[in-house]
Amino acid sequence: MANNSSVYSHPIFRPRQMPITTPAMTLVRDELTRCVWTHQTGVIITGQSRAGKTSACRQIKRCPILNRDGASVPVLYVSIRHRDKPTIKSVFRQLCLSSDLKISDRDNSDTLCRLYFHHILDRIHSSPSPNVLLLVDEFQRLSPDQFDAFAELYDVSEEGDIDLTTAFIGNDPECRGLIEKLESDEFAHIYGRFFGHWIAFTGLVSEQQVASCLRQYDTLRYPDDGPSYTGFFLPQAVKEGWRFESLAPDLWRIFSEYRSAARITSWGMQSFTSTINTLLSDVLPHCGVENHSDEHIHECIRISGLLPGLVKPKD
Amino acid sequence: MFNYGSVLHQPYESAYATIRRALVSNPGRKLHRLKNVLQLPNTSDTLNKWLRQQQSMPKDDIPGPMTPTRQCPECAAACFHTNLYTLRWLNACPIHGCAFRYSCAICGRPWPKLSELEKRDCHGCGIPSKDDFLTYTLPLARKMNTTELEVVYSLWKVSGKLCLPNLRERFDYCYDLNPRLMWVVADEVDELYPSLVDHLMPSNVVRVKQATYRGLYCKEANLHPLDEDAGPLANLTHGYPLIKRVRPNQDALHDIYLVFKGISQWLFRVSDHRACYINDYRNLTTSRLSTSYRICPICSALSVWLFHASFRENLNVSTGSTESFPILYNHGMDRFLSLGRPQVYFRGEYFTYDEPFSRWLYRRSLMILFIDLFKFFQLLANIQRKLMRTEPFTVSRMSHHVIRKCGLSIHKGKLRFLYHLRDPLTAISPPHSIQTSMACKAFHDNNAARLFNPYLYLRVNKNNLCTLTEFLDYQNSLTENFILMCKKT
Repeated sequence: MANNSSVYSHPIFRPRQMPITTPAMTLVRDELTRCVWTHQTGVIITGQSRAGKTSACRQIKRCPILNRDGASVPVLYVSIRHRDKPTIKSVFRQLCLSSDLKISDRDNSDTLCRLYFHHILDRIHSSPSPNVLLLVDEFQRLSPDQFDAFAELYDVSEEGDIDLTTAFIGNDPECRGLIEKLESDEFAHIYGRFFGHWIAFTGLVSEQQVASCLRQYDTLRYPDDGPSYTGFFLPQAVKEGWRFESLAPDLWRIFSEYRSAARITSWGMQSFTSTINTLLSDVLPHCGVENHSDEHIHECIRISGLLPGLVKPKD
Repeated sequence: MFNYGSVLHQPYESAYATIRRALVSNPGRKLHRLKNVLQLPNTSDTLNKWLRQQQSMPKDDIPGPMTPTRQCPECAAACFHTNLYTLRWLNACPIHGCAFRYSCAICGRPWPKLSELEKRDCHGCGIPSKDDFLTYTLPLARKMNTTELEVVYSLWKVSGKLCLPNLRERFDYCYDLNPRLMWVVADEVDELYPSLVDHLMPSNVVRVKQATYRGLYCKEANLHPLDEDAGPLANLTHGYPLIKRVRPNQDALHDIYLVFKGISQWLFRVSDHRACYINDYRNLTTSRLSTSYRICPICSALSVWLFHASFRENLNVSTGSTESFPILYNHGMDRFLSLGRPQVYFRGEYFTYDEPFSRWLYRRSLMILFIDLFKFFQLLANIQRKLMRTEPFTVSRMSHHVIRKCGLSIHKGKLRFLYHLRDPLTAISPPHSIQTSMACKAFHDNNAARLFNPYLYLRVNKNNLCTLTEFLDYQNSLTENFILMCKKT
C-alpha cells in the first residue's frame, strides 16, 4: 500500500467523487438522452433511498449528456427542501438559490420566474441547440400545487423557443402518495406534462452487475498514471494476478442471504460502495486475499448499514 | 451571481447596451444592486472590468457617451446599441437599414440615460416585461446579424478622421436620399481610393495556380524586354513606358468617346438623371463648396473624368495647373492614371507589353478611374456639410472589390491579366440616391460664375447623347482653352 499521506486522498475515501458507474446510472443517462433527443417535457425517476439516484444526477451534471449535435446539454440541478409554506414562490426561490442567483425577500414569483428563465437563457447561449435539462431531486417533498412552478417555467421556455426537459427524481415509496394525487383530473396538466415517462432506479440486482462494478475497481486508476484501485491497496495480490472481480460470486451469495431474509430487491449503491470500500481498504490488506472468509464480508455488510436500514416496525 | 443576458450579447456593443442587457436579464434588480453584487463601492473599476469582459472590444476603443443620442429603433428593441452609431457619416443602421432616431419609436421619449433605464418599462428603449421580452426582444436579438458592423468598424479604424462623434449636427436637414442606399453608398465609397492603383499595379507578378483564378477572365499580352537593344517595341519607344508613347490621334479620341458614351449610358440607365452638366472642377475646394447647393456625384465625377481623359489623351499633359484638382488632392484622391506605368518587373528585368493590350488596359482603367471618382464624389456629397475641413482624409490602401480578384501572371513569356468583372461598372451600387437634375442645374448655375469655366461647359442629355462630332468639337474647345491658359501663364 502507498504511504499514509497519500492513502487518504484516494477516491474510495471520498465516495461522492468516485466515478463508479452502475447499470442503473447508465440506464438513467440513456433514458434522459432519449428524452432530450425526442424533446420530452418531463420524466420521473424513482428508486429506493440510498440507491444512488443523487449520485447519478451528480454524474450527469459533471459529465453532461450530449444532444444530437454532439454538444453538451446544459444541466440545471435543484434539490427540493421542505419549507414552512409549500408555495410556488418557494420553488422559484429554491431554483434561483440552487443557481446562486441573488434574490431578495421582496421578489415575487413572477420576478423569480423571469430571473430563472434568464438564467436558463444564459446557460443555453453558448450551446448550439436549445435543449436544457432540469434535474429536480427529492421531488417527493413538493406539494401538488408547487408543480405549477415547473409548468410555468416550461411555458416560458417554450415561448422562448427552448426545449426544457424536467426530470423529477424522488424516493420510492415516499413519492407514491404524491403521484397518486397528481393522477387526479385536477392535476392532469401536470401529470400529462411531466409524468409521461417513468424510470425505476434500482441498486444492484444481479451477480453480473456486482461483477461489473468490481471490474471498475480493477480498471480505474489513481492517480491517472498510477495503479488500479485494487492495486493501490493490494499491490502484491494484483501483481500475482488476483482481481477484485473474482469476489463477485461470494459477495452476491452473501448479499442474497440478506435479500431473501429481508425481502429487499436490490443492493443500494451506498451500502454496496461502503461494503466494497471497507473490504478493499481495511479487511483484505490485513487478512490477505487468500485468507478472507464469509465472516469478513458479513461484517463489511453489517458496517455498511444495510441491516439497520432494513429494520422496519412490526405491522 | 447574476445573469449576464448572454443571449442579448452582440459584438461591438457599447457599455450602455451591456448594462442594459444585464438589467433586462435580472428583473427586479436595480442598477445600484448590480454594482453591489459586483462588490463595487462606488462604480469602481470592477464594473469597468466586467464591461470589458462582456464586450468584444476594448471599452475605450470607440469613444461614446453613456447615453445614446441616436439609435436604430430595431437595435434598441433588441437591447443593442453600439458606439459605432455615433459615427456621423453613418446615416442609417447597417444592420436593419433604418434611419437613426433621436427618440424611442414605441414610447416617443428620448433614449433613456443609464439611470433612467430601470424605470422605463418600454420594450423599445427600457426594460421589457416578460411578455414583451418573449414577443419582441428575444426574437429580434436572435435574428441580429452584426456582420455589417465589422465593415463599419474596420472603416472607422482605418479612416478615423471621418468620425465626428462630438460634432454637433449643425446641418441636421433631411436627406432626400433613401437611408438604405445611403448606407450602401457609405460602404462603397470608403473603399475607393487605391482601386485604380491596385488595378494598374497588382501585387508582384507571381506564378499563380490556375485554380486560384478559375472563373476569371483572362487577357493575354506579349511581353517585350524594356531594353534599348531588345525587342522592336522597345526600340520604338526608346525604353519609355508604352502608355506615354501612345500619341493622341483620331482613334484614341474615338476610344475615349466610346468609354464616355458607355459610362453616360450606364449613368442614365441606372439613375433618374436626365441630364449631366460637365464643367471645370479645377477651382473647386472643400472650403468653397456651397452649403446651399449640394454637389452632384454624377456630374462632378463625369466632369473630372472627362477632363482627365481629354487632357491625357488629347493634349498629352498631366502635370501642372491644367490637371490639378485641389478637392481631390486634399483628400488623397490624386492618383490618376499617371501612376499606371505599363511595365512589368520580372526576374530582375523590366518588360513592357504590346500596344493592343496597353490600350485595352488603359480603357479599362479609365472606367475604373470613373468608378473611383464617382465614389469619391458620392462620399463628398454625403458629408458635404459634415466634413472636417481642416484635415484631409487619411488615405490608406484598401482593396476594392472591382480589382480584388485581379492579378498578373507570366506564362511562357506572355503576360496574363486575370480579372473578375468584364464590366467594372456593374460592381458598384446603382446611384439611385443622387439628387435630381434640377438640383444639379442649381449647383451648376450657382457655381458657374465663381468656379466654373464657361468655355468648358457641356450638357449631356439622356435622350440626346453627345455625338462623336460634338465630342470632338468639345475636345477642340478644350485645346483652345488650354492654349489660351498657356499664353496667360
